[in-house]
Formats: sequence, structure tokens, C-alpha cells
Amino acid sequence: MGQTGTLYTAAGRLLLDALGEKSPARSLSHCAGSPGAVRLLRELFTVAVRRGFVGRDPRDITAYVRDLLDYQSLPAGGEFARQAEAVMRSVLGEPEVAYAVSDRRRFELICLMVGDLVRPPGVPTGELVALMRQAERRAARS
Amino acid sequence: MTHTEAGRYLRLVVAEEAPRTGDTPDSGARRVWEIAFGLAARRRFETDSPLAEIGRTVTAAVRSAALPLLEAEMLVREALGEQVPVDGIAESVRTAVHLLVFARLADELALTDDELDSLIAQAEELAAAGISPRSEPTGVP
Repeated sequence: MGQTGTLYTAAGRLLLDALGEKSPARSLSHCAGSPGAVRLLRELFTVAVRRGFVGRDPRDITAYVRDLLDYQSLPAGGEFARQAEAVMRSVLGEPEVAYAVSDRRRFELICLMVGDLVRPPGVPTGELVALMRQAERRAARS
Repeated sequence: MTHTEAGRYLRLVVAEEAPRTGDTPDSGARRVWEIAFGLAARRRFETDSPLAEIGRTVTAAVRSAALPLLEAEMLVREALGEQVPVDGIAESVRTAVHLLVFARLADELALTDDELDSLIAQAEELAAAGISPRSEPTGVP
């Protein structure tokens, strides 16, 4: 179930492989058929958002989402951006702001934001490894 | 003080005496309410007020009306001059937020009758003059 040393679970390897693809968000979305990978992806999203934004002004999330959607050439001024901010804030102690976001849209946004971890220059490898390990521990507990 | 019909309705909303009608408000009325909402928001909050503080006000205002919290918060932040994603928010949601949050802000500011009348009159004047008092977007994201 868990990993030893640098070995990951099958789900972890699946996600890391997807993150190494040319279009990480799209590759991550292909993991939808694996419940274990989906669970791990959600946990990876949670730990990444918390490490990046806990203790910061929530307005930083608004700016991050705008930057992300601009980078992806997606509309940054409307509902998609609001939903992205809502999903991020939901793991920072405000679950109520994301109640109206469908599971499908939530998954789509999570793929987009986790995929953004490797946007050049990307998080350092050591940081990604630490995030994945933490996510795997959380997934194993859930 | 004599108000327009839109102003009188806003006064009734604050007093929690507004009749529920199925009528769709015209654009002139919506404009008065939007401006009054912006004036009250900027009187109540600073541009960099903590979102938690804004969120408490918004939650208290819209909870019973089952309005979307984040959209309501975004409209307040927009009124404070932030660049926030507000495209595509339904007109009915905007109007309800403007009315209900205005009433909440008036309560939190403990406006006297005269102050409330003055604020509504200011909104009516600005709407009649076609002036948007909305702050320009700030550097605050």
C-alpha cells in the first residue's frame, strides 16, 4: 500500500507519469478511470494548495487563478475562475464556497491546478516528491 | 426626503418591509441599487479589508436567501475596486446581492434615518447623472 524509499504506489507512479507528459492537466484527466489515482490526485491538490497558500491573503488565490487561466488561454473573468478559486479555498477551510461546484468540474479544475505544478520552471523535484509522499500518506489514511 | 421608486424600495428593504413582487426591476432601478451598494460597501470596508471580514458580512446578508456566497463576495470586492471574476453572474443574483448586502451594510454601519436617506439620494443622483462611482481596479488582485 505505502511506498518504500523512493518507490511510489501505482497511483503515485501514474500521476508522476502524467505530470511528465507534454500536457499534464490533460494527462491527469485520463486518470479518471482509476479511483485510487483520483483519490491521490485530490490529496495532492490539497497538500499543494495548503503548502502554497496557508497563511497568505486569500486575494493571492484570485491572482494565482487569473495567472493560471491566462497561461492556459482560458477565460479568467467569469464562472470558471470563480469555481477555481472556490475549489482552492475549499481546502483552506472554506468548504461552503465550493458546494455548488459539480464533481466533474472540480476534477477538471484539480487536474488543471495540479498540472500547473510542473509549469516551467516547475516546483523543484524534491518538493514534488515531498508533496507526493504527503499525499500518499493522506490517501492511505482516508 | 423624497426618493425615486427605486430609492423607496431600497429603504423598505433596509427596514425589512419590502413587498415580494414577481416584477422584474427595470435597468434604472437596478442602477440605483448597484450604486447604493457600492457606496455602502466603500463606507464599510477599505480596499484591503480582510476577506474574512467581508465574508462575514456577505454570509450574514445572503445566507437566508440561498444566494451564492462567492459571487456575493466577488461583487463586494469589485465595488471596492478589485479586479475579480464577475462575468456571467446572473442579473437576478446581482440584484439580490445588491439589495440584501446593502441592507446588511446599512445595519452594520448603524446608519441613522437621515444618513440612510442621504446615501440613497446620493445613489439616485449619481444614477440620474449617469455617473459610475465604482472605484478603478486597484493593484490589489
